Amino acid sequence: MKYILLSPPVALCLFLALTYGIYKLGGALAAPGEEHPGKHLPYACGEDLLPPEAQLAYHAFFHLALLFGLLHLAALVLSTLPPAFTSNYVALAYLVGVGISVFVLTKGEL
Amino acid sequence: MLERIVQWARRKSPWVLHYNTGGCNGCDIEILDLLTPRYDVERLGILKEASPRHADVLLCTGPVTRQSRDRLRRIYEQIPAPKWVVAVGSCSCSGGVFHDGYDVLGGVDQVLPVDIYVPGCPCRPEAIIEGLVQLLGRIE
Repeated sequence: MKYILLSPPVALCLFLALTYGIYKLGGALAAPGEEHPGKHLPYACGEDLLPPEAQLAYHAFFHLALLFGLLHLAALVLSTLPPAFTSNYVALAYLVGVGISVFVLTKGEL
Repeated sequence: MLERIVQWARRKSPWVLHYNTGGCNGCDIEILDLLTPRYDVERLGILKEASPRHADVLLCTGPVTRQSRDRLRRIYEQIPAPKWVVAVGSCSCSGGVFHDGYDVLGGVDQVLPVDIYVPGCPCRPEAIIEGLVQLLGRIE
């Protein structure tokens, strides 16, 4: 019984039910509110929240992160190749494929 | 039974939001005095909050100016029900010395329903505590 209750799907369902019960109990206890135009706006001392003056751009970082991600993936795949495929040509072909994939992903075309 | 528990909890923890609608800051300093060990308003469960969504009571100081009218109304709307408004200081009660100003609408009751008026220029911390205690009685 203990193992059933502690298994993730059952525990998730139990806690979802518990959370829903707390949510409904809180809603039953809360006073009925009124809808107003500014009720759901972010609090900024009653003022309108201005958009940020500058938007940070992460495009350059994306290319770098993609390169490192694919390099890590390639290293993982090549280091865990089965013994029958330990030829250098297989590794080289795979790296060429990864390189072409990076080029397509970053430039969008061949 | 459940309703009585909720009322008891509200009475024991009226969290307040302080908003200056355009005064001279004299009453604001007196409100800050409430938090000092000398007056220690937290012994009554009264806690000063930074967001209207956590507050039950709106503590207003200063006269309502045309510029702060909409802000005051929006802050009041953002406080969840049930909510109460306390006008602290002569300016907040009636406009005070600013009542004839070209940009002054008057007291807080020109914009919001006020539950408790605490007059004084500036009002003493004891007077604010007395007003809040009266409000606690009204919550009951």
